[in-house]
Amino acid sequence: MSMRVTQYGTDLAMIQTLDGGLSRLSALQEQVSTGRAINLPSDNPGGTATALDLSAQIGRFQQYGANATDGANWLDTADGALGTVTSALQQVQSAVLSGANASASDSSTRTALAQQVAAMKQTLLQAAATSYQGRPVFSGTWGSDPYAGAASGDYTYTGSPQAQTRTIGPGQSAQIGVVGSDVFGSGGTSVFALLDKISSDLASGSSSALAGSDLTALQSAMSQATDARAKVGALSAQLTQVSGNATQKVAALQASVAGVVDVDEARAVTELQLQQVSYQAALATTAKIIQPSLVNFLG
Amino acid sequence: MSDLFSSLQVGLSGLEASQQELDLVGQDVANANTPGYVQERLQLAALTGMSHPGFDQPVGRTADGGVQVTGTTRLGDTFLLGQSLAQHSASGSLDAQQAALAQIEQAFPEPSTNGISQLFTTFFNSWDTLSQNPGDPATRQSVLSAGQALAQGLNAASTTLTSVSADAGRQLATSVASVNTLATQVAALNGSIQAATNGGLPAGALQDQRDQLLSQLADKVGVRTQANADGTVNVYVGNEALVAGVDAQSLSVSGSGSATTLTWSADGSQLQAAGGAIGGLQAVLGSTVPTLGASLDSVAASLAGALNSAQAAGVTTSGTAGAPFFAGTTAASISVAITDPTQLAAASASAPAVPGGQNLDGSNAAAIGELATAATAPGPGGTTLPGPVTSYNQLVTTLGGLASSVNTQATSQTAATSAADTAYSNATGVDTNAELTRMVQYQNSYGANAKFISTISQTIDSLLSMVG
Repeated sequence: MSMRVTQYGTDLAMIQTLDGGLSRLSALQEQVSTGRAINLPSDNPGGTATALDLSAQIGRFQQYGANATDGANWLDTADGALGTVTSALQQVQSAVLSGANASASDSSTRTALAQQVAAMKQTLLQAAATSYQGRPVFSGTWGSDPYAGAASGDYTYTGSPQAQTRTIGPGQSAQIGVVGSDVFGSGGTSVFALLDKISSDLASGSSSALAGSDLTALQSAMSQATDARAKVGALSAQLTQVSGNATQKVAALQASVAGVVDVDEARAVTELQLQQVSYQAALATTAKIIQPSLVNFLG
Repeated sequence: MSDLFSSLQVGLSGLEASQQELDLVGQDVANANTPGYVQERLQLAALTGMSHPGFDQPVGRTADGGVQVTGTTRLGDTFLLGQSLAQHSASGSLDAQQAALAQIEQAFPEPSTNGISQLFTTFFNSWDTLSQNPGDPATRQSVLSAGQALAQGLNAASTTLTSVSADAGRQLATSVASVNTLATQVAALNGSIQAATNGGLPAGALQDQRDQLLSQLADKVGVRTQANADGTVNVYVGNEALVAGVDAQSLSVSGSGSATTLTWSADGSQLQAAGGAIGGLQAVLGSTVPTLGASLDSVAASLAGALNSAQAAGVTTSGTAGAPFFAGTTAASISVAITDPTQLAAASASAPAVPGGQNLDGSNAAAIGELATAATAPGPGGTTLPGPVTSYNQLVTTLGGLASSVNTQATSQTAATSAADTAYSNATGVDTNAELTRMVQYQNSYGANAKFISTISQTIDSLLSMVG
C-alpha cells in the first residue's frame, strides 16, 4: 500500500513550508532594512561579544583623543605665555646691557631702563598667571594662582609641585605642561626677584652688578624659559600626534565593528531576492495543489 | 433449489451495507477538515447459513446469506499519536522559554548605542572629562548624571527580569489550572468511552474528542499515554498517573520565582522537569532568570566595588577622602550615593596636598576612567570579580548564547512537531479523493444490489404468473 496522504495533512505541511519561507523572508527583510546583521545578542552571540568589546575600545580611544586634544590646547596656551616670557626677558637683557654701558651720571636713561624692566616684570607676572578655561596653566595640579603673593612682593611659588597629567592611551598618561617654579623659580631666586634687583641696580647705576651677576642670572632665567618652551612644544606635538592616532584607531575599530555587525548589503539583497523567488514559487505551487480534488472531475 | 425470498434478503443486506458505507463517506467528507477527526471503516462480513423462520431450510444448504455490518473500526494510530504528543510537549517547553528570552533580550539591545554598554562608555568617559577640569561644577554634575543613568539602566534590566519571572509564574499557574481541567475532562471521557465500549456502542467520536484534549494537554505538560483494552487511556506525567482510567489527580502550584514548586494531589510528591509549557516555564523560573539575574547582580557588584574603592583612593578638591559613589550591590538596588558633586574624588591621594584653595589634580578621575577596561574589580567581602564592563559583556554573551540556542531548537522543533502532526493526520484523517472513489464504488454497489432485488422480484413475478 502506497503512503496515505490526506488533504488536511497536506495543508498542515504546506502551511509549515509557507510559514518557514515567510519567516526567513522577514529575517532577511529586517537585516536589509536595518543594515545590521546583529540586531539582538541572539542573532550572533560571538559577534555580539566581539562588537561589545570593540565598541568599548572605541569609547576609550575617542576619550583618549579628547584627552590629548584638551592637553594639546592647554599646552598651546602655555606655549603662548612662554613666548611672551622669552621675548620679555630678551628686552630685559638689552636693558641690562644698555644700563651696564650707560654712564653713571645718565640718570634719566637709567631710570627709564629701570621702569622698562619693572614693566617687564608685570608682563612676566601676567604671563605666569595665564589660565586655560579658568585654570592657571603654571600651577600644576592646584587651582591657586602660581604667585599669589606677588603683589605684596612675596614671589614664593604657590602652585603645585606636580604637573597635570592626561590619559592618552591604555595605561599611558602624559604630563601636561610645566609647573611655574620650573619656569620662573620661587621666592628670592625667582625671576621676578631678579627683575626687581635689576631694576634697582639700573636705578642706582651699579654697572658692575648689572654686567656681572645680573646678566648671568638673567641668562640662566632665559635658558630656563627657553627649555620650558621647548618641552611644552615637544609635548604639544606629541599630544597632537596621539590625538591623530586615536582618530585613526577609532576609524579602524569602527570598521571592525561594521565588519561584524553590519550586513553585507550585496549578499543580503541577493539572498532576499532568492528567498522572494522561492517563497513566490511555494505560494504558486500551494495554490495549484490545494485547489483540485476528485470533486472537480466527478460528473 | 434455492429459496427466492431469502435471495431478496441477501439483496436487502447488500443495499443496507452500501447505504451505511455511503453514510460513512458522507460523515468522513463532512469531517475532512475537523482537527483530530479519525476516520472510521465499516467492518463487513459475509453471512452464511442464513435461516428465516417460516421457510424450509434444505439440509446441507451452503448458499451465502448476504452481508452484515459487524462493527466499525477506528483508524487510530497510537504510535503516531504518541509521537505527536511528545513533539507537542517539546514545542510547548521551547516556546515558553523562547518567549521569556525574547522579552529579556529587549532589555539588552546590544550591540547598539541604546544599550547599557553605551551607558558604561558615557559614564567612564565622563570621569576622563572630569580629570581634564576637576574644578568645573558642570563637569562634576555630568559625572553624577552619567552614573545615575547607568544605575537606572541596571535597575531597569533587573526590573525586566523580575517581570519576566512574574509573568512566567502567572503563566505557570494558568497552565497548571488548564492541565487540571483537561485531566478531569479526559477522565470523564474515559468513563463515557468505557460505558460505550462495554455496551457495544460506537465510541469513535468520544475518542476523537479525548485525543484532541490529550494534544492540548501535551502542549502544557509532557505526557505519555497507555491505551487500555476498554478504549480508555491512562495519562502519565513522568511516573505519576495524571489520569488512570476514570480517575484524575491534580497539580498545585506553590511558592514564586525560583522557589516555585508543583505538587501532586495524590501523594504530595513534587513534579520536576515536567516538559511542555509547564516544563519550559519551570526552566525560566528555576534556571534562566536566576542565572541571568545573578550575572546582572555581579555586574552591579563589580561596578559598585570598582567605583567605591577608586573613590576611597582619591580625595576631593578640598582634600577630604572620597565617599562611596554607589550604594547597593545588586542590579535592583544600585544607585548613586553621592548627591553633592564636590564629593567626587578626582584628585589622587598621593598628589601634593593643597595648603588652601582647590586641589585640581585629576589623576584619580583619569584612573577611574581607565576602569572601563579593568580586568578585575573588588567584590563584596574581599572577593574579586571580573571588571564591570567585562562582567556586562559576559552577561550579554551568555544571554545571546541562551536565546540563540533556544531559537534554533524552537525552529527545528516547530518543523518536527508539524511533521509529526502531518504524519498523524495523514495516517488517520480523511483522504477526500479516496472517499470520493469509495463513494462511486458504493454508489455502484447500491445500484447492483437494487438491480439484484429487481431481478429476483421479476423472477418471483414470472413464477407467480406461471401459477396464475
